[in-house]
Amino acid sequence: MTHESDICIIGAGISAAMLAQKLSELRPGLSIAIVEAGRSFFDFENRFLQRERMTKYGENPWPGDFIEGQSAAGGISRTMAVGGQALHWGGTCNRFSEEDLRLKSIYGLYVDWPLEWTELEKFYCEAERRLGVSGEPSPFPGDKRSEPYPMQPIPLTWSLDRLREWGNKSGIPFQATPQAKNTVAYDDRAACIRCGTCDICPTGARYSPDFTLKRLLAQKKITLHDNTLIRKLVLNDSNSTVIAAQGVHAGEPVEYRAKVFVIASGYTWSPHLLLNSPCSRFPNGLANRTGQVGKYMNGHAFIQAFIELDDEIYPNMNPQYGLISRQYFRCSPSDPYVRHDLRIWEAGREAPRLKDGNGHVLLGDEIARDWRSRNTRGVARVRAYYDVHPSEKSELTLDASAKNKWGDPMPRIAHRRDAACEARLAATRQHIGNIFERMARNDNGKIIRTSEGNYLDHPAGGCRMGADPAKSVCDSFGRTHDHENVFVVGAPTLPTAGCTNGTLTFVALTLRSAAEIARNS
Amino acid sequence: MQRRGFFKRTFSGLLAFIGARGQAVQVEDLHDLASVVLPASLGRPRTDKVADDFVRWFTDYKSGAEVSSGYGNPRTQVIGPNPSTHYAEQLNQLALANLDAPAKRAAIEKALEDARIDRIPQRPNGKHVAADLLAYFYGSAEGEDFLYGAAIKRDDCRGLGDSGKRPPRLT
Repeated sequence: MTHESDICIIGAGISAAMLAQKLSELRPGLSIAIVEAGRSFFDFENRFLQRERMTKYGENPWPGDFIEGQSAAGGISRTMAVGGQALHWGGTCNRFSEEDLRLKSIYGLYVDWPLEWTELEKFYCEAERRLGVSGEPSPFPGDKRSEPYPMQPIPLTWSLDRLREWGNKSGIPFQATPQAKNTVAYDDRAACIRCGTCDICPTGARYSPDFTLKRLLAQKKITLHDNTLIRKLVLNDSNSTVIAAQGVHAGEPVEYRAKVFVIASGYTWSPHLLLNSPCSRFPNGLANRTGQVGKYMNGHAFIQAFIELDDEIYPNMNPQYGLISRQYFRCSPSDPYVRHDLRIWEAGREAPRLKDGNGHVLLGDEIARDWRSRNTRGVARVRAYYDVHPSEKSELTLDASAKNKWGDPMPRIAHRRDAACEARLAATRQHIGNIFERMARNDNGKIIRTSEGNYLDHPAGGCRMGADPAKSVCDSFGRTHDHENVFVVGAPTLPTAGCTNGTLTFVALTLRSAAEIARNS
Repeated sequence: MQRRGFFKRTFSGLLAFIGARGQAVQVEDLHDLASVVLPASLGRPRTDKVADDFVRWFTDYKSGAEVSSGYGNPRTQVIGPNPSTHYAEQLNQLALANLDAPAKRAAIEKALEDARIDRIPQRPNGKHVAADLLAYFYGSAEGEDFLYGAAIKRDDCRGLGDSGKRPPRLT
């Protein structure tokens, strides 16, 4: 079966939803097809029940949000569904900072992004409006905003309020993390009622792409083709435009023809699709004339600690909400390079135990007495996401030894930091450790334990944007250097993952791409 | 007295729940167990209720259901076997009904020792019903509130209005 449209968007996550929404506003006459490998979740009425099953049994609140056999080695999520990974999203909407875009210019490190901060900042504002972000302004002049947040911040819990006071005693100003959660009814979605399970928000207060897509469907502004796996893109015989996306639906081949193809399949499946679409003129995959597809996979590293302190801290008052300091988003070019965010969350104390220190079994009230005698103080979880830069060998490749049921090789991701990152790693650890110790000096604090992530969080990259086709896959709008009618949007285009959550940046860049696609469609 | 106990048990036996292997878990037996392993300060009606909630929990348990696949969890995992498979026989072996309080405790301690359980599991895992009941309770919002002595009510949707207030103390 063949489908035709003006725009074919491959993937139905948060970038696809934002792109389709904006395109349909800017160019109402465009026909937009969205093709998604996974299933749809338009069953909002079931979310309280799914939340209950998750809290009671640990069941997946988005059952069937993956495709068996379609997975990446080295990936950190298997979610493949309408809504994408944002189905499980906690809703944190931090911005990057100007330094992220000017690493080469300011610090002589890695590369600059091919766009200006003032340009990106405009689209941050738009992203915050569309998602509905509640937040409070940063106290740092470098974080100046051109528009206020659409909503007031979510009130701090008792615990977070006390933890902010504790954090501020270190001379490090903390603020509420901005959240894509409504503090008042917004965009036809309810206000947050603090269910504490943002990965399945039963009220719709936390933004989820399925709301946007459902609305666009109802308005007949898009067609949505779920359960349809696009396996390859097909090049025109006579020029460098792509003419079709071929895939499979219900076991049958299916083809999508469009004027413009937008790959919005996240950091794993976007480069995978391009690599899996070789042809005689592009034997290493489409958009890959210079071999850049799948390179520079990125993310940020993190170090975490639990600190006990003399304060009354209760866990789970709003567990997916926390504090951030942006103090270390910037460092002086004359100082050793280290940039990171700093986060605080309320944390629980030790688990109750069955035997005391002498090996005697505890039962009945003894368990609680023992627990209370050992847990007299509050606990904070602190974390720093620190900026690391990928080497060219930080890559996604096709793994011929792991194939899906259609015979396509599955992706393998191996993150590798560049030499400069490796060289400063010890100093970075020391710097962050010093900050944790500085925080722990207040309120009789004590670091209980420290750990380091063994993966890069908030991953991105694989179709890096840049001005030089020899060193990038696409331009700052996501248009691939090799194919004028193929765009990549969202996470894959990021040269680096900054030092804080990336979703808002993925969306801001996508909205900028949407304006460009609309201008040329 | 014995006769009353007999009738009480017989009546409660009607409220038996079929475990995973088809053996009935007698609610009365579970109430007996709960009265020893759970905090007596909760009071008997509440320990009975926790036991009843536990029965509902393992009755509604769906072995083989998908585990939450959220961020950081790229593997396909499913919920394990129903932990209640051996609860009925474990409760029968404990035979708490005819024991006095010290003997009940001794029987439970011995069963835990025999099962080589020296910590409360994170979730009920089927090794022994006594440990699983503890895991169920202390893993619940009610158990958390009991330990902290505060009505955190983590499983409730609590609204934003009171979020800045200290959770009310439990007496």
